[in-house]
Amino acid sequence: MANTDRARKLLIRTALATSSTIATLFGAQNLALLDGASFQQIDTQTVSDTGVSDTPQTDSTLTINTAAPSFVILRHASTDSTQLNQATNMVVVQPPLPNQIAIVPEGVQQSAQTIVVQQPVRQRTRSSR
Amino acid sequence: MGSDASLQLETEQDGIECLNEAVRQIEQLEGCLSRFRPNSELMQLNARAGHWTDVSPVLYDVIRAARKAALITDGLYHPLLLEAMLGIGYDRTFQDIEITNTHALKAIVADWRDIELRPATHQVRIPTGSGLDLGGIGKGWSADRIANELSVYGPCLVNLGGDIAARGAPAGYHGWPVDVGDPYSSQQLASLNLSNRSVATSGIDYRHWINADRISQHHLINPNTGLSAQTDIQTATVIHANGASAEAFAKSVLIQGAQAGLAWLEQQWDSAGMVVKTNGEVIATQNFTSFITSVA
Repeated sequence: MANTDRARKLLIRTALATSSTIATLFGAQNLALLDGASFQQIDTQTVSDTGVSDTPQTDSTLTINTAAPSFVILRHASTDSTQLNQATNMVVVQPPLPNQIAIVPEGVQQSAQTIVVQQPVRQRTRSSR
Repeated sequence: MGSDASLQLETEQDGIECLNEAVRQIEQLEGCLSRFRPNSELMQLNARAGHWTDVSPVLYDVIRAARKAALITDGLYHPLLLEAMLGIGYDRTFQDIEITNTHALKAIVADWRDIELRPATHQVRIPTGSGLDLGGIGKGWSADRIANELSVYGPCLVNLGGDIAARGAPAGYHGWPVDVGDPYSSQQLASLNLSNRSVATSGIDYRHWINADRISQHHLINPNTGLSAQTDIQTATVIHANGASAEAFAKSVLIQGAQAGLAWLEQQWDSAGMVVKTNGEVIATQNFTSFITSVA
């Protein structure tokens, strides 16, 4: 899709919300280059007569089955319990994961703490407190 | 909040100043809602348990949201779990916590219905001997608040420690790309496309430890037992129109377990959810798939 509004810029900033210290942010590039950005459109697939749900799926190897009246199984239980047991029994004290920021190396318009990026930086939802 | 924050904004305005202001607001919210800051407004309120206390509009609104979430979840989301959290050894930010040699202490959990609010005067009274821990709901609420204010300037996404609020969509996109992590690997499990929605994940994957009784402890308390919840869910992710509800509902689903939790979630307005079970199985509500753009 063409980005007709070349004055618009997409900015990103990160911060550490535990103190007043603000993390330094990264490079820059104009959003007008967004034309080339690809958007992963979901490839919907319907199989209505096999008991398989008509929910969207993108990976041909992915199995999506109805699990309950209206639930969808996105992944079946692991047959190799070793790995999962290791994960659940392990004592884990993990520091917060840093945001996975794709640093754009070209056209950097460095400001104090905020950068302009070419496309949205993927964020991850995760458990935390 | 003990978390990292990330803000994205697409705008024709002075975006740098907009984001600077947003960061200042995050710091203010932190000073208000954190239970790890002895001088936070929240901890000052806790110190006055049993007494009517004047609170700021922010703290009042978050407590009201917490009380509403407790009502909807029938108390499975519970804002008065501070004593229980301390009892299981979670008495400092998780970055500082050590493998504890203490035994888990079952706490007597106060009744959330005893949190009293006076709307006209913005006063709050919590039960004597109890303490508010707004936990994740404070982050979800804060992400929404910041996102709503940033959205005046353009499409935006606010990520406060994994609680994410998305408003509008950047040019050329139908929404903001958000990944759900696989608790059993460092990979992403699914990619979502979010616009005008919030998403939160609760799990026992991220912060747990073994106590002196060799019992796995984690920070998600079952209010009915006062101890770490025993569940078949490793992580629960909920998409909702507001972040506070997304956070509270994710906790509720996790405590209920996969089948009962997702069945309950389907009955809630405008809610979608996905769980990763402790056996590795991944199950979602039907409407959750409409947000998925790819699955690993």
